[in-house]
Amino acid sequence: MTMPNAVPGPTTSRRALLGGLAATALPARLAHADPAANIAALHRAAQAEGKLVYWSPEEVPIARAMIARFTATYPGIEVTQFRIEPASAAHRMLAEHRAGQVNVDVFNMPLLFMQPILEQQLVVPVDWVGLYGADPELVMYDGRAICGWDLEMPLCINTDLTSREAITAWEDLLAPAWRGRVLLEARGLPLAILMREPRDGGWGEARVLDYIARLKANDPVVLLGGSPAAEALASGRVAVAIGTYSSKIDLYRRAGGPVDWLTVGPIPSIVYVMCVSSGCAHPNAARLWAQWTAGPGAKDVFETANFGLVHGRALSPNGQKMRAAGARIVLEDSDVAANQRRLSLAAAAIGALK
Amino acid sequence: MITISGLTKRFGSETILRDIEMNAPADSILTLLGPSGSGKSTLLRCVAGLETPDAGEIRLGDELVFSARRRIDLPPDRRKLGMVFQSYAVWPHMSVAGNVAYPLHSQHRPHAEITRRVGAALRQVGLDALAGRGASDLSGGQQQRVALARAIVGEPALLLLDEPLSNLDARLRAQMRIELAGLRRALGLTMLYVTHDQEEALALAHQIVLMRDGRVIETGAPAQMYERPRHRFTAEFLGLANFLPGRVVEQREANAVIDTAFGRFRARTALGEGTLPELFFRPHQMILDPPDGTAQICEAVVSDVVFLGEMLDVTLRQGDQALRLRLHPARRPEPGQRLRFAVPPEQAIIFLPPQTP
Amino acid sequence: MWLLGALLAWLVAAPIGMLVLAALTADATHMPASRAPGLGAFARAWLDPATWGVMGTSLQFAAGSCALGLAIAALFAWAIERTDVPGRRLLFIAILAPMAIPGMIYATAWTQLLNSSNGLLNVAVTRIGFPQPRIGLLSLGGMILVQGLALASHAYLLIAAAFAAIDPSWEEQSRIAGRGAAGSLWRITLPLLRPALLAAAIYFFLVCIETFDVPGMIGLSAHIEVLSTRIYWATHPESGQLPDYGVASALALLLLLIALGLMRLHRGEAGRARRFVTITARGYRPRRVRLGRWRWPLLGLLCAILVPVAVLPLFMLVWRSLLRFYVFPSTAALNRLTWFGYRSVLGEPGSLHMLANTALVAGSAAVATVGLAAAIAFVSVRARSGVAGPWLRRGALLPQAIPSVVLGFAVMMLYLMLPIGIYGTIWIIALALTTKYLAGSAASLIAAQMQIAPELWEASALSGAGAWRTWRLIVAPLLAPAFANVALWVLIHAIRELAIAIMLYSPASSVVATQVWALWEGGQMTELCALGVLATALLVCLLSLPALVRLVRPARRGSAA
Repeated sequence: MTMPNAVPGPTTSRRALLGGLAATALPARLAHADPAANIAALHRAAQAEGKLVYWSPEEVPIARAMIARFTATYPGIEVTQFRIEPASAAHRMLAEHRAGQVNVDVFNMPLLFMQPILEQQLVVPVDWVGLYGADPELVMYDGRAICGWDLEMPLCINTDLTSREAITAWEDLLAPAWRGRVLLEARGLPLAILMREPRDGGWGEARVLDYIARLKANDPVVLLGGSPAAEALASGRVAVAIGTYSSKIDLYRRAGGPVDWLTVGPIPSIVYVMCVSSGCAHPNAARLWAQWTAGPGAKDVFETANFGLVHGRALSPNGQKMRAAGARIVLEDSDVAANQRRLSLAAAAIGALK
Repeated sequence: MITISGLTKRFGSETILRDIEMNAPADSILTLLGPSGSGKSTLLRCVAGLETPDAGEIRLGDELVFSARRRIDLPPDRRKLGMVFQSYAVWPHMSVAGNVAYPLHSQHRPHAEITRRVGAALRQVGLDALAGRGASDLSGGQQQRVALARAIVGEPALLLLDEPLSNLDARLRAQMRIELAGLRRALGLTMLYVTHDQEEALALAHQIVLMRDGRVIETGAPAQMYERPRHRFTAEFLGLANFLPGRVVEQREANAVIDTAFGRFRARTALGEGTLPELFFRPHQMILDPPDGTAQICEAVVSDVVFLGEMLDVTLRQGDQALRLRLHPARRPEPGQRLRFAVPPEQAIIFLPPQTP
Repeated sequence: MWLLGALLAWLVAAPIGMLVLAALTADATHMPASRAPGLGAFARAWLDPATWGVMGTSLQFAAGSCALGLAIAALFAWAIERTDVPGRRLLFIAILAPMAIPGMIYATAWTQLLNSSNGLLNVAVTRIGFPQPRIGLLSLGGMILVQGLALASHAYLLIAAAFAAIDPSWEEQSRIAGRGAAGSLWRITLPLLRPALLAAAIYFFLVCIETFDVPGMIGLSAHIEVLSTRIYWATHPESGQLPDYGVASALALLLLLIALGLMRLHRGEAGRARRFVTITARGYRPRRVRLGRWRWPLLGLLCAILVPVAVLPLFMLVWRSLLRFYVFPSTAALNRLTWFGYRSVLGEPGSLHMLANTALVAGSAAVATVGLAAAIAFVSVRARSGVAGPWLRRGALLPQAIPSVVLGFAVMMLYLMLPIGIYGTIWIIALALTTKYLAGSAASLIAAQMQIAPELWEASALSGAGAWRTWRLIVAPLLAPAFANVALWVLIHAIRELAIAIMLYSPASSVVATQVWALWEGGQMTELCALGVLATALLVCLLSLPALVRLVRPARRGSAA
């Protein structure tokens, strides 16, 4: 399962961007071919900048743990997380870039929102492999994004109302026994990812649309948002939920909630990447952060948040468990245009969002 | 003091005041009298600057405060007036002293002066004991005194009063009337006083302006307007009036001899024979049991007697005509009894009916 | 006058201008001002037949919610301000307490109370032994119910002052004329309050048309679309596209037109209102209607209404805040209670900074809003301001029709393009909130001001005081209760308004509202509800303040001269 490094948008702009890269002043500019020396130089430059603004959607405690670990490794940089939803983040970045007031240095973004960001050239391409010795498999969009973490969206259940054994396939939920007991999150994120072609592990568009239509005939509860969905599931309003994260379900389960996620495949998984903002105030600190998140030093902090690197070799901890249980994981496509089309299709089929 | 000329005020399509001409001498009380809807309050508010007239001029003393033609319209706060509202308009959130001190604060007077003048004004209206009281804790009469003190404390040359006594009971009203007149004399103010109560007007005014339907009907001193009105409306509005339709039968020297249902009367006027005038006289002008030999003695039957305490209200009837007169209670005519009376010719007034073409 | 006009132009006209710019130049692939202007967005927004269908639903929703909310608010305002019903202080706090609950929590609480599978009320009925009733909220009626209930406390705060100011003699006259307390309320008090109620109705109508919480939570599940959700989805595309600010702005401008229409209606009414002066110039001594034997039945009725308005949602909030996840309330469930949510909210580092920010933003927005609203009230009603006054008033009322998401966007774009250094600071939030709440504040103050007898102003003018002095020394003190209510109202809204803060905050300027949003998005319901409970507690303390002030005040009386 590899991810095509397809970059949308006109190639001319990509070339222009790469050209622009050469012109940007870099203190550690190709002085050594030695990544360790380059990173050390990057650290010094970042310390001179002193600050870093990191936009991301993860919960504040998780980001706080990341920052603590980062600061322990690379002292002298004051990192501020700005917790912001991906959609808002994308829209604000666009507005700020338009006005020439860029407030973000580095950000974590699901692939879903990468289309306008790449198209409007809001990110800087970096030679992650050549300069900092990054794993080439972690570099996407010609260096404009690095690393990918996945968050699985499996079928989730309320264990008081049903059992793990009661559901062995997605199609089970179409049975009359599940009438009115299934929650379908209105945006249909997992179903959109399931629309990937069968060669990528998905069902293809036609089959998913048919599934949604038959599920809708079974009178599902439609709610908006992963969190309200998890809440409704934990409270016992529904027995099964489609459209919430396994990591969120873990939070409820750890608190003693009667919830669990299933390893019924295929399991759609959404992918996040790290990007350095163009025109940012602290470009060196931004690179330092981004290369660190893709390296081994950040791995265990990320994994506590169920963030794991993708690319076939490693999935999130939950993803690995799912795969161990024999479930196929379907990762979000890096073809952002295709993503958009599928999401629109899924949301329209569910029909709650107009 | 006040000179008004050509004043016209419209509200929408309705004309409230038409071409008002008026002149009030200084150091006197001018009363605007009229039934409700006559425009008297609007006229007062125009003088105050609370309404903007559509035409005409208003001059207060030497100052032109409003002129439609010359586009002058001084706002009320610059006309240097005092005003007492019918509803008193005492500010509920301030103390008595606070209300009274307000105009002086507006003039930025020194603190000591304000204290002194507020004290003086409150003494003048007899409220000095209540200076610290909250204004909303006062009775109606007390509020009225606060309003008065507030109006005079700035020592305006002109004080406007809009039916100031109408919310008080009869006894308080009579008392306040006397106090107001005394206050005015003491302060040497000019007062413009709106009322619909003719008794109040007669008692207070040096000059009465009688209004109806937005026009001035008649202006004059109270006694003259009461006894020798030039308009039938004046005669009717200012107090109990007897009207008798009659017919001139002859002209004898200076007097016209007029035949009425009650007999013959003489009036000091010259009218052609056959004219059909209306004879007017006040009840108190009727002389009862006139000495024999008086020219034209009438006789009529008593139909109703009403006891009013200080006097009796007696109605005489002849056919479908009635006359009212006032008698001392010592004399108690019984209904059905006949009374003889006469009206001196110089006191009988003639109104001619409007000429019908 | 000119200064005020300039301020309003800055606060109101500039964001609206930005909307027009966005409507002309933005679409799903372009940010505003990034292409040549065109009418495409207007065509897509206004000519789409679906828009007009949705408009119909929106109008029904707004009218229904508004009627329900105002009816409850008016009943409480009358009872608390005009009658001797027992426990007025507590009723006052109880009716206002739900204000502190963020709208989406209120809506969530209701979906948990009343849904056809495990709604608390349904389950409770089943536990008593009845068959499961299967009553849910998923209908227009359900949306109206929840929105109306949520509206009641907000409406109360805006209309209470008008009730407090009414001249009791009119009510007394009606009682003497043989009508009971209820009849007098209906025939005398309410008609007298018509201008104030109508102003509130127009305002809350716009609020309902613009609001997202209830239509977003319940309408979405019920497959009922309204204008605000349509606008919301235009600005929050969930498929990774750019938001279509063109369509959103064009729809928002449509709402502005509706608002203008409503204000025209209101203007005719305001003319009639001159006759309904309720702070009379004669002895103004507010007295209460004596209810006699109706005191307790009325209290019973009010308490019964408080159950759905405040008790049930607040219970749900408290209950949920003490649990890691929802369980049906029972003795067994008591073992699961935990202080986790409170510990985690109070133990949050940086919360002090956040609270300071919130206080600064809300405080400055409240001061600015009330100050401006007062100035607008001053020029619009009595001052000799010619034609400008009504225009200023209308201008101030317009922003209410702009949905918060769109207004937040417009303000963001404005200060991104206008480099005066407030983008990214807390002041941009304060500015946007001031714009947003100017409408309600001005409407409320104007309504209160119309109830002061003109003689009270005139007497001051004749005492040699100019218009400003009159307003400051006479009108403003008489309006003090209205000022206090409006300031409190803005303060609370400034704290809870989410959409604007989310659009405009930055790491340095996070406020309580953004924290609420973060908890909501992160699925941290326990912490969120704990925060909600704490906010409600804080509000109750705030509401108790006037009682404390009243204890101090009598000492100052009498020395007012």
